[in-house]
Amino acid sequence: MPGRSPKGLHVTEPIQTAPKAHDRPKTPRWQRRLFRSPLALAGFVFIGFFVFAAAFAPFVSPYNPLQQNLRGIYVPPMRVEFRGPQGQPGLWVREVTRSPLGQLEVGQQLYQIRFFVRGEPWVWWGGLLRSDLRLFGVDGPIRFHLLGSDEQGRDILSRLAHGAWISLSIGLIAVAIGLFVGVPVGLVSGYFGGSIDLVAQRVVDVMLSFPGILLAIVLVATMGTGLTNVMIAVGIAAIPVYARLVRGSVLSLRDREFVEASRALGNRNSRIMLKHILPNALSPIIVQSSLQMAVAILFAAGLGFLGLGARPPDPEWGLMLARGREYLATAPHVATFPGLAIMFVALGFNLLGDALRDALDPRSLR
Amino acid sequence: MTTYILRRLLIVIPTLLGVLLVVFLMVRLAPGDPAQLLAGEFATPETLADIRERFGLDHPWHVQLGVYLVNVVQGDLGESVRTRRPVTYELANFFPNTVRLTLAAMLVALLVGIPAGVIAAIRPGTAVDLLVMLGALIGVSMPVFWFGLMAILIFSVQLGWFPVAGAGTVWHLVLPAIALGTSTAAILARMTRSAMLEVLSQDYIRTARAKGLAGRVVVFKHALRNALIPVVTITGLQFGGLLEGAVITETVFAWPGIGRLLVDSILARDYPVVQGAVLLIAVAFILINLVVDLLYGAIDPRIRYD
Amino acid sequence: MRLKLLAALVMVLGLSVALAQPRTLIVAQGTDPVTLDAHLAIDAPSFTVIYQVVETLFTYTPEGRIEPNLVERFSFSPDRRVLTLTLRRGITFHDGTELNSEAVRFNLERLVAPETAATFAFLLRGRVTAIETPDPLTVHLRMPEPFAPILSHLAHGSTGIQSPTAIRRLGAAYRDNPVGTGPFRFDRWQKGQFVELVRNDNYWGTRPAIERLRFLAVPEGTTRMALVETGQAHVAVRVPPHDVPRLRARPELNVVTTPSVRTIYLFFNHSKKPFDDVRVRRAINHAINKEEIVNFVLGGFGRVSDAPISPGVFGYTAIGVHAFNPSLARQLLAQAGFNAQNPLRFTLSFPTGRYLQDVRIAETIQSQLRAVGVQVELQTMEWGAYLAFTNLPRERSQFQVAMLGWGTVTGDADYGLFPLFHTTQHAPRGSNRSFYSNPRLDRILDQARVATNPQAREQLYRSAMQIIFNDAPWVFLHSEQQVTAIRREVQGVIVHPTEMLILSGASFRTGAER
Repeated sequence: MPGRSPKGLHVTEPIQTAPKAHDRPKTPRWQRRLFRSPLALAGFVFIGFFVFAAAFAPFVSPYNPLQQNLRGIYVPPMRVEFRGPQGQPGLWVREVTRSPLGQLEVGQQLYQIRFFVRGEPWVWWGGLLRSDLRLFGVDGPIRFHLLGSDEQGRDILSRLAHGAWISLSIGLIAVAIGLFVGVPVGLVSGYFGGSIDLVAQRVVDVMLSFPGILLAIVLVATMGTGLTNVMIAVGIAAIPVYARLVRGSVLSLRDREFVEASRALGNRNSRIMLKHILPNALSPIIVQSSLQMAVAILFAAGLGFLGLGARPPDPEWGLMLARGREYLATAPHVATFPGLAIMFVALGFNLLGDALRDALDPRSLR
Repeated sequence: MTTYILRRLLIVIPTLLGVLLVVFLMVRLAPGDPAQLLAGEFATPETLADIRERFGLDHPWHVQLGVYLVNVVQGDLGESVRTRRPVTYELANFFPNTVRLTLAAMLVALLVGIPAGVIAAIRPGTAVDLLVMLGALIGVSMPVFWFGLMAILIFSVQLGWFPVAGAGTVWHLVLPAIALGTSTAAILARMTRSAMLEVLSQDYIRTARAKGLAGRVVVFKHALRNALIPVVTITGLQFGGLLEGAVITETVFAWPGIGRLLVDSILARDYPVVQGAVLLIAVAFILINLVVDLLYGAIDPRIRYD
Repeated sequence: MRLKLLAALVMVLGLSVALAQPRTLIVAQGTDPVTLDAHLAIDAPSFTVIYQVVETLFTYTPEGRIEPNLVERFSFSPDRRVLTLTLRRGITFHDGTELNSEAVRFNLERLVAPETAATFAFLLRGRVTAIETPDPLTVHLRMPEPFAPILSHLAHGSTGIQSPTAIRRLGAAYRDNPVGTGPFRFDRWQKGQFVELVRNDNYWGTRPAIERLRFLAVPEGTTRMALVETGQAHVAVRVPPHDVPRLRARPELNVVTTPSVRTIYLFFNHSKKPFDDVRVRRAINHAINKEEIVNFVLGGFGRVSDAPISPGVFGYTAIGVHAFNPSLARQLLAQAGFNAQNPLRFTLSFPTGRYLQDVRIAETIQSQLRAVGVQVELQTMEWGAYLAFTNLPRERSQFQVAMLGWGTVTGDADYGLFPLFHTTQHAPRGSNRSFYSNPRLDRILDQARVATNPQAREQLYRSAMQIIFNDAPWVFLHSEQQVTAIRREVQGVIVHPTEMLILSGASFRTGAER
């Protein structure tokens, strides 16, 4: 059993799929199964939440994520009151500042929170989206920090929203790098076998010798820190995972009748690989990509945490957490929220990946 | 079987060479100047020249590679730029702590993961099962550095139950081991559950049940034993995962292990130590996989190597 | 029953033994020492440990004076080119080796020897060219030209006098087993965790009251504070500013602040436009609110710089501060041709984790400069890469404005000014990384090196610093203050401006005194 390397197990179990049927129903069964699963739904909700926050980060954020306020540093999440000065209903807050000596000072006056307000103008999507509309804001000369402020008095909610953009882009680009390099390598390696396979698998072996984040750490240590390098490093770390996975699927497919038939008809190798083998090896790739998003986001945050990833003042979650760690005893909220964000986004992709696996794997039909 | 072992051993050689090459190149391609680093703000050109010469940084890179390979084969990993001690000495000082932490974390993972998986498998589809599986998913989704910080915040800073960080007593080991073991526990729980479900649906278990054997006997005597085979494999492989997690956990808990040494050395551009630590982790990982691969055949008689 | 009694007795006895045991003074430091060889050390945690074990010929007191230490007497020849030292009689190293003139020569020669590759070799290299030892207690140091700061250089920790026998015998292992003449002897070093020292009962000076010292390596500020709060350590260095209010509120802790000789500054690359224009340099100086940085970022634990060097350094005088004045800054920028249509943009490079709150300082400066219409991009890199990046020769130099700190660790203005501002010291030759040059200043700094009269030297440094102030090659930010948390049951711990701890006079208070 050449494909029986236990290594595949800690990635994702290779899934045997039946060859694609020619008479497809309108909605494939796996999709129907996916949308019925409560786990998948939870996954979609988490992911959707963060995708929305990332896509419309400035709209969701009450402030510019880099806007500092040294008179309000590491202010804890602010208390919202439901009665105004004269007892009128609504959402109200008081000003909270911190003195140079570190004492919190809470103001007397109540200010109202309003939704869909005009605030500081913003530009997003490289200039495609311009507005000054913000989801909520406070009516008055104070700063309202729903999730508190960090050590420079920056709004944590705004930083988390912009951080969602960073984390999701790192995840997407890293997975894309893994896919675009790893899948072809696995395909060619598994299909042709022989010396190509031997060489490719030795390279993959070397990459897999650096467990998990270590490969990313090694790459970042080589290339230097910064967001671009983190994307590349985490992406490269995903390549061997895909190469192994796809090779495993290809090995189980290449001697099947429909492939033999295609070969007998005189089809070219590239056509056979792309038309017959790849579509049938797609399910585990899809599952893996969802799980890999979670892994990539965790790796990127881990690098940021170690000081080997994003650089200040980037609102990257891992970096925010690392800096919040210094204030753990005084202001635990600074480290708590970025950690929760990382966890929920990773949980979302893990839930989705699991649900996809269940939906796509015919064995789980029972 | 013997040919398989031989072949498996032979494959390790090019892998090791590749790892060595990567480790060497990584350091040559990196930005920054190690000599400058050692000299600090107070550098004079003479000092820089002295340091370059002392650490062989003034030779062309292929010469350095040759020297490096020869030295590694002889067990000489060079000298730390920062402390000027042999790298092997530094590694020998820090690695045992990592082994200790990894073993403790594995213990946590086994004690939590396997029972949780068994419980979930006995009652598939129930609330207990869902809870365990959700817990396991959260376990793998939770960044270890955050979990570690929260554990420090709650159990050390606020409750004062455990030392804040550092090493020395068994108490120092508790929180890092739990933090590091959590994701492995989650993976083991998932693996145990699916293996148990697989086994419980087999004919012989149905037969055993039909024969009227008590549920507990069936589960523990027959099912668990067979289900443990893949779990043992995963456990072996997870040592590698723990080594990886140790890099971050050690930084969080100021645990004097190889991971913290690695991160500190990267930040300080202490190239020889970075090389040595990465090499050690990679080699440890390769060896673990090799042993697991070979044991796999020994444990599971169904597997035949051709 | 009898057994139980016995057990109880044993317990009581055990307890009383435990109580009678000598208490170890535990110090939580930022990092593990890098080396314990005085000649090779470069970082404060290493020097702090070495300081207890190895002594120097002269000593730089916390009050800023240079005093003889291992030396009984010293004198200069009339031409000031020969320094004669007479050693104290009867001092032995911890291994029994006698401290004599040969030992001194061995140590000073080892420091400057190329094979030692010591960072601090420059303290003596080229300045002392011959060492003679006419008798066991006399040393002649010959200098090619008079060099006024020589005594302060001989007070620097890296010129520590260590046992030649031990160095020869242990070779490379010496750095893990230092042998000096100090009040404490090296005991053991658990790498990455702690170093332990024991009292030197044969110490030539006053015998310390503390029997054992332990230096813990705790890089995380939060952790270090938790250790001293819970009593797992007695002294914790580098208290993060935001933890001070909490620690102050605890009756069992003393929070001590001590000025440091380290000055933090931004420097302009004079080889890049528009930073060759003094108006731009002054504008930025006026646009940065240093008080705000000190008060809000450092929690008040700093001192706005009023000179390129800090108080406590010989030659310091207050010169002045470029006052925070945004409208003047805008005016100067406008004169230099920058306005809203053509804003000044530049990249500020800074290191991460090297100086107290370095990242936050850079972020604050970025936001302050935005207020006068200057757009700053932040760039940070790892310390090693950063040093190399700012140390390139003029032609290849890329940075525009960068942040560094300079500790005048010798306690003499020469070391705080000459390497940083003299034209001959342009990077990478010296530490003048801004490529600043002013011939008048060069002449003054040269004179101050050879002048013999301390008053005359102080006068020269005053005029030198006035020139520097007017030319504004730097943004003078602040000098750091060291904040140390010490448990009340410990007394006599002295924090030195060079970021070291003096522990020979420390002791535990008895119950009554508490």
